[in-house]
Amino acid sequence: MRTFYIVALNQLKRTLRMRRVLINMFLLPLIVISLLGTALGSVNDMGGAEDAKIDPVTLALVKSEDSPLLDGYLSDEGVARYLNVVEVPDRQRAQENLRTGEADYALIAAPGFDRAVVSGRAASLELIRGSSHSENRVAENVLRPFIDALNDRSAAAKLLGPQALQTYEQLPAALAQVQDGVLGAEGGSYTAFQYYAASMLVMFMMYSGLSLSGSLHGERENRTLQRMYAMPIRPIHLFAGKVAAAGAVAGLQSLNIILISKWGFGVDWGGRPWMLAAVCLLMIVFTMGMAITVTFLTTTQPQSASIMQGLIVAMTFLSGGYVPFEGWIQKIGNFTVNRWASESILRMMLHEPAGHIGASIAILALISALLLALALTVYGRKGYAYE
Amino acid sequence: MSFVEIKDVVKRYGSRISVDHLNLNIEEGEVLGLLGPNGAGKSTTIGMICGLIGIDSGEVRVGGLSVKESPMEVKRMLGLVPQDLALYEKLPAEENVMFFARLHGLRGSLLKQSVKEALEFVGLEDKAKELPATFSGGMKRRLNIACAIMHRPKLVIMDEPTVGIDPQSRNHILEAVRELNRAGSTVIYTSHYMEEVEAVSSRVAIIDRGHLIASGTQSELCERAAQQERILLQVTPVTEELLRELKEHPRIEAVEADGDRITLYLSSAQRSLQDVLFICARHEALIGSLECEAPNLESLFLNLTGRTLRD
Repeated sequence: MRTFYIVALNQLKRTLRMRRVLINMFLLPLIVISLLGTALGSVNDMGGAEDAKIDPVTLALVKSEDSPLLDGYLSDEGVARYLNVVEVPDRQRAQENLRTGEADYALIAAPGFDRAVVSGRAASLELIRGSSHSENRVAENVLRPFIDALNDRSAAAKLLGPQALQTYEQLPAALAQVQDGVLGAEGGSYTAFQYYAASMLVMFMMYSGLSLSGSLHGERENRTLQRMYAMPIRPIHLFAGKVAAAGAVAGLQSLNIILISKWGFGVDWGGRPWMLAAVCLLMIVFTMGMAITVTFLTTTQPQSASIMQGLIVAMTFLSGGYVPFEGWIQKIGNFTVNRWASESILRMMLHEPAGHIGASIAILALISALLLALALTVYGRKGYAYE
Repeated sequence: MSFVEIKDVVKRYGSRISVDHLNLNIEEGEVLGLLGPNGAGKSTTIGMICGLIGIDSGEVRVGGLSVKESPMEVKRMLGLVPQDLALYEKLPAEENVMFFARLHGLRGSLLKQSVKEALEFVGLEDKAKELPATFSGGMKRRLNIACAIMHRPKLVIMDEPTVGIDPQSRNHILEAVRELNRAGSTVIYTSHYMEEVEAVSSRVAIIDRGHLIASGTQSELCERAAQQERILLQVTPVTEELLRELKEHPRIEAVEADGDRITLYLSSAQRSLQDVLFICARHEALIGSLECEAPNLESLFLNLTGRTLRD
C-alpha cells in the first residue's frame, strides 16, 4: 500500500504544479460560469430561471345581454389581476381591436348564455386569439377554470339529468382557481448563475478524466512505467495511486467551483451538503471510469483526449448544459450522466424534498456503477502494460 | 553458482522467436558486455531478467532466486537503466531520484543520503533543484543512471546508456560503470559501441537472432578473432596468375577478388605481409592501398554474424 500513497502523492504534486491544469481546471470553470450566468441571466425560457413578471392582458368581451356568471368570474380579484376587461358591442369590433392591438384576446358569449348554463343546456362561448403567443397563453390559463367548470356542469347534466345541477349551485370561486405559482416546493427558484454553476461543475469535473488519461498514457510514453515495473511494486497499486490522485484533483476542483461560486457569485447550492458531496463523488467515479475505459481502448494520448473531449462536449450539449432544450434533444439528453447530475444539483438548489433529489442521485449512481464495472473489466483484460 | 543464470530461455512474439534457447551465466562482480545488432534479442533478454517480459520456456535466476517465482525479491536486487530516458521532465532532478528511491522502499535519513550520493555519483549534485527539461542530453542520461542506482543494487543493467551524448558525458558514464563495479555491483552493459564494451567489460557475450554465438573474456574472444585475420588490397591489374599465386601461398586460407579489390583471409597478417607484397611486385601489380585488419571484437562479430553491430 505504501506504493499507492507514494504514486498518488507524486501524481498529485505533478498535476498541481502544471500551470495549464490549474488554469483549465480551477480558473476556467469560474470564468465560464461567470460569463454564461451574466450573459444569459435575462433569458427566462431556461426551464428554471427566475419567475417572469406577468403583465395583464386586455380582454375584449362581447355579450348581448347581462351575464352575472361571466361578470362574477371576471371581476374576481385573482382574475382581474391578469385580465383588463373591455366590453365591445359586437364580434366585428372585437376582431378589429385584436388587429389594432387595442385588445389581446377576445371572449364572445352567445345570447342566453347564463340561462343555458343554469338549465344544463349547451352553452356557447367563443374565444378568439390575438397575435401574441404569450398573452394568449395568459388569457387561456386564466379562463380555463371557468370553462372547465362549465364543461363539468354540462357533462353532469347530460349524464345524470337536470337534478344533478343542484350540486353545482354556483361556479367555483375564481380566486381559488387562479393563483401565483412559484418554482420549488418551498418557494425557491434558480438563477442563471445557479443553472450554469451546476452544469459547468458537472462538465469540468469530467475534464479531470483527461488528466488521468494523460497521466496513464504519459507514464507509458515517458518510459517511466517501464522503470517502475522493474521495481518491486505491484501494478495495481501504481494504477490505483494514479486514479486516486486524479480523483483527488477532481474533488478539489469541485470544492473550488462550489465555494468560489457561492462566495463570489452568490450561488445557492441548497442546504444539503452531503447530497451535493454524493453527487460530486458519483461524478468522480463516472469520470474515472470513462477515463480508464477510453485510455485502455486507445493507444496514444491524443487519441484518448479527442474521444473524451468529444464525449464531454456532446453529453453537456445534449443534457442542456449550454442551452436548455425541449423535445427530442431533451429526450436524448436523458441518456447522459450530465442530465442526472445537473438535475440532482438543481433540485437541491430548489430545496425539493430529499426523495426527489434521491431519485435523480440513484440514476446517477446506477450509471456511474455501470461505467466503473466496464472500466474495471477493460483494465482486467488489457492491463496497464508498459508498451 | 553464477549470480545471473539464464537457462535454455525461449521467448516468442507470435510466430517470431526473439530469444531462442539462450544459455548465459554472469558471475557476481563482473561487468558483462552484451553485444548484438538491432533485433538480436538483447532488450528482450534484459526484459526477462528484470521480470518485465514473461518467459515462454526455460528459467532466469538472479542471486539464486527465480525471476518467475520471486519477482519482487529479484527486483529489489536490480537497478535498470533503460535505453530510453525514463524521467519526469517537470520534476526537479532531486525529486526524480527521490520518487524512485521511495518506490524502492527507502525512507527517512537513508532516503536523503542515498539521493544525495546518487546525484554526486553522476556529477549532478549542483543541478539537484533544476528541471531535467533544461538539461543537456548527457546530463539527462546521467540522471537516468542516478534514478537506477540510488538503492545500491546488486545487479545494474544498463541498456545502451550512452546513446546520443557528448564524449565528456560518455566518459563520465563509463567511469561510473567501473565505479559501480568496484563498489561490488554486477553490471550488464549493452551497447552498439564496441569500444565502450571493450573499455568497461570483463567479459563479453555476443548474441544474434536470439542465440548466444560467443562469450568469453576480451582476450579469449580476440584470440578467437585472431585465428582469421584479413588483408585488404587494392591493386591493378588483377590477373589470373596473381590470384593463383596468392591462393597457393601456404599461410593464405582464402582469396576473394572483386574488381581491383582483393581480400586475403589468413591466420597471421603480420607474418605474411612481406610475401604478399613480393608476389604483387613479381606480377607487376601496382598497389593502390593496403590494409591489415587487426583482430578485435568487431571483426569477430562480423565474422560470426556476417553483419556489423550497427546493421
